[in-house]
Amino acid sequence: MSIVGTVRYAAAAVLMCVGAFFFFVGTLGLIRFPDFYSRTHGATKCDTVGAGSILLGLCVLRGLEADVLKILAIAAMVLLTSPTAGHALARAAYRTGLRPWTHRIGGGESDDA
Amino acid sequence: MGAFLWGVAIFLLAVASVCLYRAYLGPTVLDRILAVNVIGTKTMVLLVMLAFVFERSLYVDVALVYALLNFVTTVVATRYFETGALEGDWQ
Amino acid sequence: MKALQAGLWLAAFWLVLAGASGVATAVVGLAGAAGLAAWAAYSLWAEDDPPVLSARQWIRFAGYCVGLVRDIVAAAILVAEKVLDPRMPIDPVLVVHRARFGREVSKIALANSITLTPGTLTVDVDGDEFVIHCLAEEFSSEIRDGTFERRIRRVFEER
Repeated sequence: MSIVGTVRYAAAAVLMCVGAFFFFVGTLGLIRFPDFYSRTHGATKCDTVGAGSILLGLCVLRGLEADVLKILAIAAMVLLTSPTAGHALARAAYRTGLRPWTHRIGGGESDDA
Repeated sequence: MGAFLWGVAIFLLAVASVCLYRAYLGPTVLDRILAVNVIGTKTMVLLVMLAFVFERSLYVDVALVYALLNFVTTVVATRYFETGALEGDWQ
Repeated sequence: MKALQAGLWLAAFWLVLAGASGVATAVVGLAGAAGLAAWAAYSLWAEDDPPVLSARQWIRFAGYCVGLVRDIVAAAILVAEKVLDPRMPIDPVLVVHRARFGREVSKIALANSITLTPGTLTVDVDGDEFVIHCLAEEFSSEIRDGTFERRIRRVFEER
């Protein structure tokens, strides 16, 4: 295998590992954070970066082909829709009266609205 | 590279099943919708990876539609939960 | 004008989807894009104004997008730090911020960029009021002092 090919494979592998890491962190946040709003933080940000990173890694792996445009379109769509979906969820929670968890109010009880 | 792709795909599948725990736990409906949305994002990435593993570029189109559908599902379910109706103004 | 703008985007999207699969596919797709754009402009978006950007605004918008991608990576790293810390050092607060914009698109851009920057999430937008959830109070400083607002204003409001 040529030097360029090796470098490209390595770059793709690194990008995909980074993406998998962020997916893992987002999921851990979904499980560990104390209330709905904080969970939305973790889910929107980490998932956007995770998906973008893995898709970019796959683009690097594939090189210049027609598929790459499609994958980039998916990545752009995730970048646009993920925060919007997060905002829609947070807004529904806010308007239906779910109170955010804080140290001052005290943990736990505000969660089950 | 094929083995590596399999590894990442299986890891994503495992992480997605951990998200199911939040969907089961709740405690609010919105937590469940959020968990399903997160699983949907992972599934979409998984589909693109499968397109590479099986050398079928058709799966990329499926992933594209899945990404759109995931967003629409989340927004519609959220809106239904918020207003109790699917018609009328969003405000 | 509306129809032309929408039609160009739809046609570009079709070409991305179809790839290089023959002249017939391209012609059918372009005709479909034109028809859909004409229909949407006269019924679906009859009352809405599409966000028209001048050439200079497009250039600034591109620069803004690059900054946004950098911000969101920083945001994800920050969330990762918070999640992986066993003590979970968060102290969430709700902050209300007022920002007066001339166009709807500026509001959308501000809301989306607040969501994508470290530690903050737009919860509700009502008129000029943005309700923002912060993982800790110090993350709201950049929004409070108006750094963000100025950035958005420079891209979408100045000619």
